[in-house]
Parts: sequence; C-alpha cells; structure tokens
Amino acid sequence: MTDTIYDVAIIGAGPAGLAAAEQILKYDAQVIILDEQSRPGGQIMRQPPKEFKVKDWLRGSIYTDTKNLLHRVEDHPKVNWRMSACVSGIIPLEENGHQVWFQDATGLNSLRAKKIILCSGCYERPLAFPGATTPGVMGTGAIQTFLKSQQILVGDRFVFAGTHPLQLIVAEQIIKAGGKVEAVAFAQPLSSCLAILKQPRIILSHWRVFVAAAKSIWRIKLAGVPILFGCAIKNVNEGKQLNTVILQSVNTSGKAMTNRPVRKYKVDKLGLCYGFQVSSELARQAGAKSVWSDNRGGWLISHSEWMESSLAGLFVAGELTGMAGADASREEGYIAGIGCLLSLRLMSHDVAEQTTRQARRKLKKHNNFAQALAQLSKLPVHLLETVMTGNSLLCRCENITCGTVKKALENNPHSLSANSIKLLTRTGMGLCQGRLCYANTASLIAITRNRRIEDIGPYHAQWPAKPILISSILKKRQQ
Amino acid sequence: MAKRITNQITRSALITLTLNNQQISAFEGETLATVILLSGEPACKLDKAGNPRGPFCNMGACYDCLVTVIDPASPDKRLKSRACMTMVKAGLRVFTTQEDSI
Ligand code: FES
Repeated sequence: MTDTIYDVAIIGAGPAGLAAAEQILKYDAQVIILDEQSRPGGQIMRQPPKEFKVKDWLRGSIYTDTKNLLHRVEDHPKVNWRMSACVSGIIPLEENGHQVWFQDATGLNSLRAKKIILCSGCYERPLAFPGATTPGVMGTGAIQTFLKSQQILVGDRFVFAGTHPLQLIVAEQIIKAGGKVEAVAFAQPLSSCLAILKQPRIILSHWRVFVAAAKSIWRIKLAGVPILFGCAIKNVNEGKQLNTVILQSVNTSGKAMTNRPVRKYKVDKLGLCYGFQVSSELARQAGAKSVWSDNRGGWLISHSEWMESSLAGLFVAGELTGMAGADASREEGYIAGIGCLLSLRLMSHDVAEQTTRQARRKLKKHNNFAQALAQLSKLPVHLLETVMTGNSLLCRCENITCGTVKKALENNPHSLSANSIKLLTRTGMGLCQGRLCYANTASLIAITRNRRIEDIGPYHAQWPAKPILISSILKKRQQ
Repeated sequence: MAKRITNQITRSALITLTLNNQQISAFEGETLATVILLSGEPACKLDKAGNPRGPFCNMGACYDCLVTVIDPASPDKRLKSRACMTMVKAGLRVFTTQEDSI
C-alpha cells in the first residue's frame, strides 16, 4: 500500500502544533495533525470528551489566547485530523521528506510528509522514594487532567509535594471541586521562591500569571491549608493503596534535617510536582541533535532560527526545545509554521522575517519568564540523594531499585553512560521506555561518578518510540 | 475515593461494561482509568514484583495503568491497553488483576 503524501505533518495538537497549523493553513498546503489524545488541545487544554457539556470550561484569562487558538483550528475545514494516533517513529526518506509511523485503532499505519513539525510536549518527572508506586501517588498534572478533562475528583484527601508552582494551581482547583487538601509542600526555601519577585520586568510582562498565582495562594490560605517550604517527600506506605504520606524537613541544599520531626498525613492521594521532562524521544529517534539542560527539561532539541532541527525538514516547537509553557509554545509553533512555509517555498524570506518579528519579541519575553520559573522550581542540589534511598524503585517498569543501580556502579567502575547502566541493570528497558526513570537514573550516575549529565548521555531513542503490538507489525507487512 | 463532579456538567448516555466480571455503568466519553478509580478499585495492574499499580501520569506515558480488555467485537482476543487512553464501550470486558507479563 502506498502512503498518502502530505505537505506538512504536525505531530502533537497542543498550543505549538495548533499555532503552526494555523499559519500553514493560510496557504495552499495539505496539512495533517496527529495526536495521541482523542481531542486536540495538548495537556494544557485537555478537553472534556465530546459527549460532555461543561459550562465555563477552563475559565481564567491565562487560558484565553490558547483557547481561542484551539477553537479556530479545531473548527478549520481544511485540517486532516488523526487523533488517538500514537506516533512510534519518524524515518527520513532518501527522496525528499519523511515517513511517519503511527498506531491507532486500525493498527499500525504510515504516511509521508515533505515537512514535519514535531510538538511532542513534556511529561512529569517523578522522584523515586520508598512507596512511590503505591496506587494513589500521582503526578500533579495527572490529578489536574482528570479534573479538567474527565471531570472527576480522584480522591478525598490530598497532599501535594514538589518544587513547581503548578501544585498551587492544582491544589486550589481541588479545593474548589470539593477535595480536602492537607498540605502543599515545597522542597525549596521560601526565599528561593520569592527571588522571582526581584525581577520587575518579568512581573510586568507576565502579570496575569502572577495574579493567577496570588489568587491561588490566597484561596489555599483561606481554606486553611498550610503551604510549607523546605519540606520534601520522605516516603509513603506500601501496599494496596495510599493511606499515609510522610514529609521531611530539608535544608536549603536539600539535605534532611533529622533534628526536625517528620510530618505525617492520612490521605488517599499524593500529587508529585518535581518538574517536567521534555518528550524528545521521537526527534532523537529520527536523528535530530539534542543538548542537555538541567532545569529546562532534559535533552532538548537544537534548532535553527526557523525552528528546523539538525535534520533537514524536521521542525520542532514547544516544550521539546526547553520547558517554557503554553504561551511560548504558541509563539514557537507560529515561527515553525512560517519556517515550514519558507522551506516549502510558499513564502518569501522577507515576508517570513516580517511576519515573525512580533512573535520573536514575545517569545523572548516568555523565555525570560521560563528561565526565572526554572530557577525558582529547580530541585535543591542534594534533594535526590536525600529522597532516593536504596530501596526506592528507580525503574518502575522493571522494578529496579536505586540500591541495585548503585551496586552495579560499584561493581563496574568503568561504566558511565546511561546506556551501559541500562544494559547492566535493565533500568529503562520497560514499557515506558525510560521516560519516567531517565532523569533520576542519570542523576544517580552523575552523583556517584561526580560527572555531568552531558557525560552520561541519554538512553538511546529507538523505533518504536512507544510499545506497539507485534501482531500489528505483521499485519502491516502483509499489506 | 474518586467521584464525578456534577456541578455545571451534562454527561451523555450511560452504558454498561464489566470490570473484573462485575457489571458497572459509565458515561460515554469516560476512560477506563476514570471508571476504575470511580469503582474504588485502587489498582490497574500488578507490577513485576506482584505489587499493585494505579494510574500515575494520565497521559499515556507511564504504562502503570495497563489493563486487559476484551472487546465484544472480537471476543477471543485479549488486549493490553492503557486505561487512561482507552474509552469505555458498551459490552467491553475489563480486567485489572492480570499480572504485567509483557
Ligand atoms: S496513567 Fe500513565 S499511561 Fe495511563
């Protein structure tokens, strides 16, 4: 069977992908948008299912621009949609273009596109600690998407623990929805959070975010919920489901302060909020170059001023170029869309320059804000050593503990790369393909060997980027 | 325990499926993860050490929500499926207790 050929395939229907699509759709180009979710919007705008009617969905001015973009593109008659499609690989072709492999309800499929814009976003970084896999321990973003998309409150009593301010927003939403929040704990000291207020330019350019955050804090306080600083996860109960969360006091560098009593909470849900990792596997699998960033989300994809990666015809936009949020993703998507038109020779260089001038200015401001936010929410330096004790599960899929990996490092003094540790211990070989354990594994190696993560390297990104059924490969071969 | 938010929300038709051979009802558009959380069943799967796991990411990344499903359209096929990425369907048979043996 021959593949359909598109001018542009956009992978990921979040703010970046939607903004790119909108620009390309203004021209006579065939666009297809693929996304693993059933409806467009990305994680920030995880829509309720079509069958639900939700009044005032995602209220608040910080969502307005992105929501408007979503509605414009979702209703656009010229878009080809492939939703609920999980992209497993991008293969550069010898003739011009790329082949995209994806799995959906019909099985394994492929298509061709002259250009690709990859907007694969990010996922949450869990910490490893004793009990971390007990049902009831969730990503804070997960708790939020159950609320905003499925419209369910996942538990009765909640604790949030992390370093990222997202947990304030979600805690407030949980309180509003009728949940009981026992505490919101930040591992860093209050002073590192307040440092952002010393940057008046950032406050001025992003006042809406600060107002939203202030409102959340106000409402959390009003509900009598303590917001703690210098307080991190220690452990939770093991077994059938979560019932006890223990938090510990840590100093400014993240070391345990054992002279302070631990805090114990009886809750059924714990939201973890220790930052995000960019989802760059697909881009790396295709062969695009990446660079390490400690606090902008891991292995980020390098790109030109038109958002083209080191692989010709593969454009990238949004979080996988560095965590920066929905507003920055929208501007990057816009620039990538124009860049794509430029490389398809549908737009002249002069017009492209002119059209992107404002987006570049805005992007710069958003990136300054993202930098400040990354600084605020970075993990205290010794936090991982404090939290990731020997019996903590490092690789959740293969059930490999931190202790096992430490032992392997001791026994193999020359092993340094994440890949060699993967081969030695099976860490990162399971179904999530290292998405959840990579950052913790790499940090553990870096700490033990006293090296930088750049020396450790990423796990190899291979096809398929997400597990697929062998039967679907066989079926595809027979076609 | 999880609960549906009802204020300002209109849901669609109720359908019936089974969870571990028990009949349950769910609204169209709900995911299996939602239904499992609402049922009070804490876990979706057992991990390699036989310990229970529940949804962690709700976005298809962690695979902790893997369940076994049998679709009424092909009743002799058992498929592993991420509960957070799979919509309910009338007559679907869902099992949470299968050991993760992939
Ligand atoms: S909850 Fe992570 S894949 Fe479903």
